[in-house]
Amino acid sequence: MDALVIKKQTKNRLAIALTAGLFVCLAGMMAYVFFVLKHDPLLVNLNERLQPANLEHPLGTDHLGRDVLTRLIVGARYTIGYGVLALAIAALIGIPFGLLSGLKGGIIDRLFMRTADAFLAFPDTIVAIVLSGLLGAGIEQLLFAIVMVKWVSYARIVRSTVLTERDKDYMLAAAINGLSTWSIMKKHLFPHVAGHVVVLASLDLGKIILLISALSYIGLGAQPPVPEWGAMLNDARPYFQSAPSLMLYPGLAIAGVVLLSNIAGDYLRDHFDVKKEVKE
Amino acid sequence: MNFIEEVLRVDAVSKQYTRGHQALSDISFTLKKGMCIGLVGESGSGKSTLAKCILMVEKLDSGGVWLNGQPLHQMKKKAMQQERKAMQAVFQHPAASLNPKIKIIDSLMEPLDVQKNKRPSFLPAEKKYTREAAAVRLMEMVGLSPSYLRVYPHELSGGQKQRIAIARAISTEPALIILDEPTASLDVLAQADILQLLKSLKFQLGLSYLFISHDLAAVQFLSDYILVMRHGRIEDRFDKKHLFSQDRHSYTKKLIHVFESQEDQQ
Repeated sequence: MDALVIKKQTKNRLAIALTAGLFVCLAGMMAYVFFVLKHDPLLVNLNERLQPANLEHPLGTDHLGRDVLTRLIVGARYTIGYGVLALAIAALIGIPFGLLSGLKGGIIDRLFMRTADAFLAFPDTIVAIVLSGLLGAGIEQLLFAIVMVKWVSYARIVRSTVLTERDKDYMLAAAINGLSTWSIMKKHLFPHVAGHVVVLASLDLGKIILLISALSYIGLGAQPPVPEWGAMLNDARPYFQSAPSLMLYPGLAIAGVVLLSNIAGDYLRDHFDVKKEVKE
Repeated sequence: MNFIEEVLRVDAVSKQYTRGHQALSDISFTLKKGMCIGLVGESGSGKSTLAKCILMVEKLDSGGVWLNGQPLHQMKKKAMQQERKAMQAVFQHPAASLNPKIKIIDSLMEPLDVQKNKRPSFLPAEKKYTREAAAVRLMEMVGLSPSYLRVYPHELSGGQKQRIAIARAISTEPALIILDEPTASLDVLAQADILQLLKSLKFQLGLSYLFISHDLAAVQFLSDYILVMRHGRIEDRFDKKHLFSQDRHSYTKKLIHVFESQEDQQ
C-alpha cells in the first residue's frame, strides 16, 4: 500500500515538475526574445537569410531572414491559442447538447444521435480537410472546421454520463428532496461531467494542435507570413537539405506541446478516477 | 384504532405502462402514524412502482394518494415541493443512494439544505443550530462517528452507507418513510443492525414506514400489518400476528413455503 502511494506521488510530482519546468522555460524564452532581442517576426531581411544559430539569432534565421525563435514564440499564439479556442467552442456547443439529449430523451435524443452518427461516420481529419477545402484556406475557416468535427465527442461523452447517472437512486433521492432540475444538474451531474470533459479536452488539445499544424502544412490553415508552426514547416520544406533545423524547430515545438498536453491529460485522468483510488 | 392519526391513504390507485402492461390495479390501503406496513411479493409484482407512485415520481392513471390529509395527486409542482419534506425514501442499493463525487455531509444535508436550514427538533434545545451541528446529531442518531462526514461514499461499507441514507431520510422528520428493500444488498449482520436501527428510530421518532421486502422474516420483525402483492394487485392483507394462520390466501402460503425452504437450505 505504502509503496503504491509513494509510486503514485512520485509519478504526480514528476508530471507537475515537468509541466512547471517547461512553462518556466517558455516564459524565460519569451522574456528574452521580447525584451532583449526585439526581432520582428514578419520583417523580411534578405541580407541575413538562412543564418546558423548565433547570439543575435539563437535558433538562426529562415529563408527570408526572419528570426526563427521569435517566429516560434509568436507562432505559439496561433497554434496553441487557436487550439484552445477551438476546444473551448467545441465544449461549449457539445456540453448543452449532451445534457439536453441525455436528460430529455425521446425525439430530441434520437435527432441528436443521428446527427452525431453522421459526423462520426468519417475520420476527423477527412471531415476537417473537406470542410477547410470547401470554406477556403485560412485559420478562421480551419477553426470552424475543427469545431464542427470536435463538438460531437463532447456532446456524446456528456450524454453518456447523464444517461448513466440519471436513473441512479441518488438522483431519485434528490428529486424527492425537492431539488429543482437546475440544482440537480449543478450538484449531482456537473461533478461527473466536469471530470470527463476536462480529461477529454486535455487529451484532445494535442490532437487539435496536430490537426491545425497538419492542415496549415498542406496549405489549408494559416497562410504566409503568419508564423504558425505547421505553416513554418511548410515554408521550410524546400530548405530541408540545406538547413534542416528550419523544419526541426517547429517540429520539435509541435511534438513538445502535444507531449505536454498528453502528460497533463494522463495526470487529470488519474486525478478524476475515483475507482482507481478505491482499487489502490 | 381510529383515533390514531392517518398518515397515508392510497385509494384505488392504478397504473399502466405503455404496451398495455398493467403495473398496478385498484390498490387501496391506509397507514397510521407510528405504524409500519410491510409490502411483500415476487419481483415484478408492482411493489416498487407503488412506492414511486406514492412518492409522485410516477404519474397515476387513476385513484389518489393522500399524505397527512393532503391530496398529493392533485398538487401542482410548487405545492408538491413543500410537501416533499413529509415524505422520504431509503433505497435498496446503498452505493447508488449516495453521489460518489460529493462528501457525506453534502449528501446527508441535502433535504435540510433544500428547506433553507429550518431548525430540526432532533437538535437539543441548548445547541445552536448550524449545518455542522445538525449533521453531527444525525450521525449520532444512526450510530455513526461524525468523523465520516468529511469522507466520500467509497470509503464506507454498505451498512454504513445505508445508515447515512437512513439519517438523510429522517433529517426532515418526515411523516412517512418508504423503505424499498433497504436490507436486500447487505450481509446478514448488517441486515440485522439496520432492521434494529429502523425499529428503534420508529419508536423514538414516531415514524411511519412502508416497508417493501422479499424477506418475510424482516417484514414480520418490522411491520405491524402486511400486504401481499401479485400482478399489480393486493392479494392478501393481514395483521403480522396472523402470517402463519391457516386462512391465508394460497399465494401467501406459497410465498411462506418458498421462504421457509430457502431458510432451511441456508
